[in-house]
Amino acid sequence: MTAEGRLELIGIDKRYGETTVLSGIDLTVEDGEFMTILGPSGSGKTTVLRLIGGFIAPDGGEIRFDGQNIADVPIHLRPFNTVFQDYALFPHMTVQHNVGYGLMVRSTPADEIKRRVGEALDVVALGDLGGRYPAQLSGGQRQRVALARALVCEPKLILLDEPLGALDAELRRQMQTFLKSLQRRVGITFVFVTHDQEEAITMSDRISVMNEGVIEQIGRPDDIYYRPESRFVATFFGDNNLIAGRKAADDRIDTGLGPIRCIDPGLGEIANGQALSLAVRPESLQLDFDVDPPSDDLINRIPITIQSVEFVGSTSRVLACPSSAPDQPLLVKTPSRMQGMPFREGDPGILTWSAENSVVLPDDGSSK
Amino acid sequence: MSAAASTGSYALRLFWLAVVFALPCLFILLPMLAFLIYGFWHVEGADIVRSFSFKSYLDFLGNEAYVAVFFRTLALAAKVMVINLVLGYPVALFISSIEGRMRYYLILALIVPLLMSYIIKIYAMRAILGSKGLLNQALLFLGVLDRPSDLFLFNMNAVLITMAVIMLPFMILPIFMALERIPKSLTDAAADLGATPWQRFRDITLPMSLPGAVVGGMFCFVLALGDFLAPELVGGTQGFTFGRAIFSQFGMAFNWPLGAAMSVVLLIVALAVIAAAGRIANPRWQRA
Repeated sequence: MTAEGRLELIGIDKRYGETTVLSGIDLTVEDGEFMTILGPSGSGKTTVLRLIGGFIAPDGGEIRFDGQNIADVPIHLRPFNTVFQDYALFPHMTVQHNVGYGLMVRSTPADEIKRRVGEALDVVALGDLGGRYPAQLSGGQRQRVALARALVCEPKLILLDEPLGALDAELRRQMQTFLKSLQRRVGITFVFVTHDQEEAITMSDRISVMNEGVIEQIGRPDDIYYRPESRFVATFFGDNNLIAGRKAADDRIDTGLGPIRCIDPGLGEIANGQALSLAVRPESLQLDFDVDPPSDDLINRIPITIQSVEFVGSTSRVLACPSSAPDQPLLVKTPSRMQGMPFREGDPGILTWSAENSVVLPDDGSSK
Repeated sequence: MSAAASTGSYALRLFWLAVVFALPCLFILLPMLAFLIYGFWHVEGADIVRSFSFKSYLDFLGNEAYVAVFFRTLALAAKVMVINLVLGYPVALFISSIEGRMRYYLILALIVPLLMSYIIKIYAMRAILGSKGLLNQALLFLGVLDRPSDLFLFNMNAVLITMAVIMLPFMILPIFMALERIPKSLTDAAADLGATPWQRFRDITLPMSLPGAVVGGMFCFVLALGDFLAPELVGGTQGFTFGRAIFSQFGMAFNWPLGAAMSVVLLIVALAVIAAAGRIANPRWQRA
């Protein structure tokens, strides 16, 4: 693969005084990719974005674009544009002048600025608001002006720093769809920073999950969701059940709930007797009430008692206490029914899941 | 009942407003009102004629010397404003660009002189500008002058330099505050869009700090316009300003109605400058 349009971060370190903000960040973003950097606040994701944009310089490592080190290229010469979290629109300029600013400072002819600004405003559906000042726009409109201002420069890369954070839920969903389709249409590489895992999953080609200044995992959204490689990733994305145990044999794990079968290639790398955790998604668990003996030993079966049932709309969240370990309730998500759930608090039942529906997480010593 | 309660609280609010504004009204508005009235009286011989007429105003307009002093004072105030804008803007920019404790020390250095007596500051300037003063000594030392110059004291130059130096904080502080209010993300965004450091300053920092510069300029202009102490103490006979002209009407000339009429003219100019500054300092994009 050629390096054209590829952004590479190699061994990036960043410190502020005594505090290490980033350590050993390796990240490659391919040309035209929608890459999301996801992490809780303070994880260093915005710092990564600011390093790429050139607002700050790394203390170690290399940033390459098109195969060339750009660490010394000053901010105004990098072919990247940023959509800021607070939009950073120039309050003393009209929408038109805001959007045209990047062209104006590069001495683009006035008629070309006019044409391209018009096109960019059409792309974000703000064609007739060019004469307004930012203070006269709604939050969603400002957001789109910020986007048009970046797009009009035809950058190689657009950096987006939580651009949807200030919008309400409905507008946020609309903008997610819009951003995604826009990115497909213009084919510009997007590096998108967010702390919202749902946003990351629905929009990204790939996600890099950050925590405490390191990248925990990079992968496609479904990989990140179903095949987490660390406890942090497993619990950061939605709900997950973590079951502590020890490897007993090839695909058998001894846990507080009894022996459990798990089919995961990662289990092969773990020595017998070693401590590990098992992650099972709540929607992979199934509640049953017949007590027939197991017909398939690739299905794990655990007797439980229902602790609570919580209706949250399309699904219901059920806490089920295993009989063998009543103090470690498991979360089950099951589709809600109009007629109400066929079980109540205190009912006994059987929890089943396929051995293929769980992943093994090496014990990294951190407690949950 | 609720209507009665709200009427009661409204009356109470009115009462407190009256209490709060009583002193300012008594000591500021009333004297000004008195001047307004005085201005429409006039003097005949040694007596004040207490009947309404425009005679005092016409006396002022008909006196070429006073009108000349009036325009010379406007020019002086404008010079103080321009000099301080040119000197103050870079200082404000510098202070807002540095980080850490140093910036607060510098701000403090600007504020401390504001707390000192105006007369003491003028005397200090007089010592600096005199023929054996710091300025002459420095110029002699640097070889700019062969012998001490009298150009810096008891003339219009002295008034200009003294006012400019003493009023500089009034220029720097509003500009500094305007600069501080510009979000860092705006200059970041401009840089990100390809603007060079100079373009960032020209397109973002300068226009967004302009309201502060206008306010600072207004302070300097209005303060210089009405001041009579600095001209009196460092101006000598040449440094005669409108403030001194007014002062003399209340003193030696003992023509209070003419002094009052001239004060009202000064007040109107000052109010016009303040109103104009208010309009410029509050541009359309801020009101939206």
